[in-house]
Amino acid sequence: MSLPGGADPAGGAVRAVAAHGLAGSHLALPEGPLADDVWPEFFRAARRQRLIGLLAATVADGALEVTDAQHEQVATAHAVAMKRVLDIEVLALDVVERLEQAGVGVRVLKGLATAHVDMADPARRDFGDVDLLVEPGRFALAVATLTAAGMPRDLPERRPGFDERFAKEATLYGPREVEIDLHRLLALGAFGLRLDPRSVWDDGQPFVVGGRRLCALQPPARLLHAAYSSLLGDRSPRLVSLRDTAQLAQRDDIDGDAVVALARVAGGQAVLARALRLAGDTFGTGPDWALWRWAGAHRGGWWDRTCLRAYESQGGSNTTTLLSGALGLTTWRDRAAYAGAMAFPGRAYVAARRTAGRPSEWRRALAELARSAVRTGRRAPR
Amino acid sequence: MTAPGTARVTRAPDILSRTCLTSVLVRLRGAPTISLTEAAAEVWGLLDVDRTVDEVAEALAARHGTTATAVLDDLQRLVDDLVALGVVLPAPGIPSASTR
Repeated sequence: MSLPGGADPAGGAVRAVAAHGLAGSHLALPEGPLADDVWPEFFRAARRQRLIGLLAATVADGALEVTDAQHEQVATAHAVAMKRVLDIEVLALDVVERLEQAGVGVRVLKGLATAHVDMADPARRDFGDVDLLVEPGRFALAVATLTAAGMPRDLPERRPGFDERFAKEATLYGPREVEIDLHRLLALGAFGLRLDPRSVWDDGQPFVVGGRRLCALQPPARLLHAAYSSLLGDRSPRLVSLRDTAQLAQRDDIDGDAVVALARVAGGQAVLARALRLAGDTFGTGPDWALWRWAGAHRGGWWDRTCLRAYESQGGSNTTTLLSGALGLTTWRDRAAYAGAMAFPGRAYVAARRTAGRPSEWRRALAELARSAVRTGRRAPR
Repeated sequence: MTAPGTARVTRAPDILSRTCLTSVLVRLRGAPTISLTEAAAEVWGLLDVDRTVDEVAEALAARHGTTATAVLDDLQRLVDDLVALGVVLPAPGIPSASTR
């Protein structure tokens, strides 16, 4: 697998930005300002990978030399990104208060939590939406509370009862179209449905934003989630998610045994091991981690390999990711209900997709499965 | 509202902020984001703990090789603006060092 960020000079420099401040990383930032023919691609890649915060940190720390024009571009992009981040934090505080008043506990996930709990300075971590894990068993109430408060959901529930049984998340919109992702699970597909959200729901780790106490997951669950986001969350692993994984893996207080035990309970050891290896290889930091030896030695079984291949970053597609969900369920009854909901969503859901201009799921699924079949045929030994 | 030179002031406890490359962004819920640049950003940095305006003036003067008197008027106006915006507040219950 090629390293995230790309093989060209811009890609190498972006990886070094993503590694900035990680203990033990051997990745070096370029000496002197990047040339004018490399800078535009480098800057685009840094934005695409949500690394503007770390890029600004490399400039502020004097680790990356830039021209005056490059400095201005970074400063402007960082200020724009951080203004957006403050908008998101204000919305997150509002959402958390509404949910708590309704009796729904939440844990802050991903960028907002990472920025405040794991980074030396929150300005180093850019993020684009509010991500909250909803207390198990309260998902429908959480969605109803926010929609009643004027935060519309992008699509209705796939079928009655689907949310509480199978949904990974619901997307709602706050003011200025800021996205609120209410998570019931930590991933789509097999690994998401295999994990019982009660296994990561504990007292959490408190932190303060705007004078108000919020709660993130505990470090082992944060690391597992970062690994899931790295490997299962996007079409290709994003450097910002791998950085989160590496950042958590090298925390002084990370309990490697607790992380592995949680991953075992969640059925996610293969994801954790592969994400740690990829993060370690990408940033050259792995051998410094207590979990490195475990990750290097871990070999998943048939189930792990099959499920991993279903995800887009591992050669699968959105359709195979969704289909893999059946492998994460433990009873035939659940599998049948899940498959039925996937194949035959409710009328309101289908109509809302059509109104929103989204493509037909059936057409998309057939096209993706056909492409997968062609790829598999090309790979097959002759 | 004027915060006299001997009154202690501090950042509002419910402030949201980010330090950027050439500015500091501060925001209260229900209010727009304010961008502090140059001297204002520097003063914001000094208010990470509660201080009197006089103490801030002395710190600024030491950094810039001038006297506290020379910066005090501009600083007082800036602090008054920040107090009016609600992002800086009089620190409660702590007498300033110069009035003890």
